[in-house]
Amino acid sequence: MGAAGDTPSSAIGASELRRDVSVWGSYMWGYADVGADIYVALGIVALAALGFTPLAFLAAGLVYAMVGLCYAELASAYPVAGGGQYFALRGLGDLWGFVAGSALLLDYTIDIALFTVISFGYFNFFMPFAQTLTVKVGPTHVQWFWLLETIAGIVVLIWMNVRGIKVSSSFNNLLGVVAITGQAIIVIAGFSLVWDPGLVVQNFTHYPATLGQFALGSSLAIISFVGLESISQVAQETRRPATIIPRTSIGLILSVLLFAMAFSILAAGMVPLGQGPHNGFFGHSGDPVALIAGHIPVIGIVAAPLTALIGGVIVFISANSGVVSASRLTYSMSLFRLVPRWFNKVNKRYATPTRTIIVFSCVAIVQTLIAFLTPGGSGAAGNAAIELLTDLYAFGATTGYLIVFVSLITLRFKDPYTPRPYRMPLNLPVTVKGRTVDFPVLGVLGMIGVAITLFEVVFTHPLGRIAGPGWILLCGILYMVYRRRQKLPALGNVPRNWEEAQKRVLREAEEFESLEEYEGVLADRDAAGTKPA
Amino acid sequence: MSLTLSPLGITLAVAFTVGLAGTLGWMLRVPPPAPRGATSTVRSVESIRKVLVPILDLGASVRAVELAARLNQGHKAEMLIVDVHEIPLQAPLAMPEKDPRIQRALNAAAFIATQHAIQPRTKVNVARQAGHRIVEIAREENVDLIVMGISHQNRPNESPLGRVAEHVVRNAHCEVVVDRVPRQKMALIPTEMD
Repeated sequence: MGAAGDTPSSAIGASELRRDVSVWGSYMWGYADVGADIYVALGIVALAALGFTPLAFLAAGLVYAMVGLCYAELASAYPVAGGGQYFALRGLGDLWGFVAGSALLLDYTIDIALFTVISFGYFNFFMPFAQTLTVKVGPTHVQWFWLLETIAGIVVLIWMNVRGIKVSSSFNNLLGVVAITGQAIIVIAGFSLVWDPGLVVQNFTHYPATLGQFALGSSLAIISFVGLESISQVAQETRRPATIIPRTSIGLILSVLLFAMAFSILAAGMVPLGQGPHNGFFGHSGDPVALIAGHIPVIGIVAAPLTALIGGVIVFISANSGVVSASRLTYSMSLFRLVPRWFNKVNKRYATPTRTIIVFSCVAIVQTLIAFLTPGGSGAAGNAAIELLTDLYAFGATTGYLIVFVSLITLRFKDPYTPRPYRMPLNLPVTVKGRTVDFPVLGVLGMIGVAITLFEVVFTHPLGRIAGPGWILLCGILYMVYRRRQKLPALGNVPRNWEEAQKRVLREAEEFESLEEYEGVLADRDAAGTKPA
Repeated sequence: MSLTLSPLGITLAVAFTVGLAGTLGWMLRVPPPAPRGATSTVRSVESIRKVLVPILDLGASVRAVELAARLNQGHKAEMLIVDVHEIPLQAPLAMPEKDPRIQRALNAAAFIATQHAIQPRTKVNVARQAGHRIVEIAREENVDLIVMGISHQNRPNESPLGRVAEHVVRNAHCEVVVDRVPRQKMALIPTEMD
């Protein structure tokens, strides 16, 4: 162990993050991330799942709802930065904490790359020539203009974050309101003015997806729900996290599900969902919502460019949240000695974690270059770059979620004392060593659902199944080397006083009810002499 | 694209609007925060694990069992009902012959507790001074709360609580609730258990 100041309990307690995120702010943190996903996923999923697109969204949505409830329980019980990585660390130990962290880090770097690509896809609505500017590099037709736009976009993100120019919270909240209102208007106007139930039936019967296509589609649909963990990333800055986080999580789950189902059903009743060129989204995987908006009579002429503009901005902000989340995650991982302290160095002039921002944004640039140079493009996305990035995005998310579900189940047994202001529904009381523990049945179902999705990702995504595990393996090797050099257990855990850390977190969060409950339960346990070794 | 008005589409649009507005409305209605004093009070009552109900006055004590059981609802503390029999200094400190009235009072108290799904322990003790023994038992048993029922009929020179309750209130290590039953309710209390 390092010095006293290095212990996790003091590190958590010494957090300088201000608890200033309100209920709407917490919701918008999640919405800026998840709400933008439909702008990315709709076209890709429609090109993969064809007439079964709404069913693919439904299947992914059910898994997502369980993931959301799982995060609501864990983030309200452990309101600290780090999210899934922290839960895995608490439940499963250092190694799994690192694996979850590296999977989420993959997700955040892909988030930067993919969302910047899509963001400029929306901005290119105003420059239709952009996607036609290609250059042949080997077997690949590289869309060089779009690639340059994306790299320039990531460089802007690096500059903004290094200089500490944050998208202001109030601007973010305002844009969120505009985006929600805009999306709601498209859905309501679309259903009322142009939606044709006959076309839904026709798409369903004429263009049914095969089992493989459906598996691919539903595994891609999961990306329209990725980002809910952003709420847990800012849990340490949220006011009254035990009360607010479950509400915003459930609110986000329901509203995003509503939008995802509404857009997919709307799309099925507005455009043909056949194979390749017979699909309305063919060539529009970069701006699917703008395509839908453009098809609405009366408002379409205004809604399409407006949607493209809002879509471009909100997706770019989502890419920015990837930079922010990557730096928070690395900060948390370095506190727990999972990655070197080098990453935590703060720039003296701008007071920002420059190294993390530059390193992981450069990783995103490399990922973008690889994606654009990847040959293909006839697959689900109709664009090889988007296809590779979505493969990796789905892989990182499902791997991280699977580990978080296992952590949830483990923590119910390992740490039954921490108060859980919100519990996943459907629990079965079981007695273990004379103690009654609520076994989370829905948690197990969620874990199975995520495991199936991960299997679909590995099974149906040829690039993701190599690059995703390759990333985790590479990170794992670096982790082993780092731990050995630091003379820390490579496979074991660094001893930590989790109980003191938890008390400090609850005290700082002013969650006095939870704190008193926690202290009471610990006192009872100590009086009964059942304190674990 | 041409205008297509579909009743099902309009229904879906309405359902979507109601669903979204309802979700956001529910989410934004956050309950007010509980002040620290309030939460610690609630928690301290919830953390009561053992309650002692001494039988002082037959009728009032049985009523105290009901009060203790209601206080206990939801967190299932252990209940101990004790009758401390006072033996005068002149007499040997030995258990007297069974007093059927005390036995009936203990049975009635136990019955009330079981009605609240609490299985009480009952004890009969002897002491020169009941108050002292009650305080001792509370300490020996590591009791969190003592609930005592007293009647309104005290001797003229005694404190309003009576000699025993006064001593317990002054000397008990734990929380003490004294229920003095008002005169008009005395009629409801069975002084004879038959």
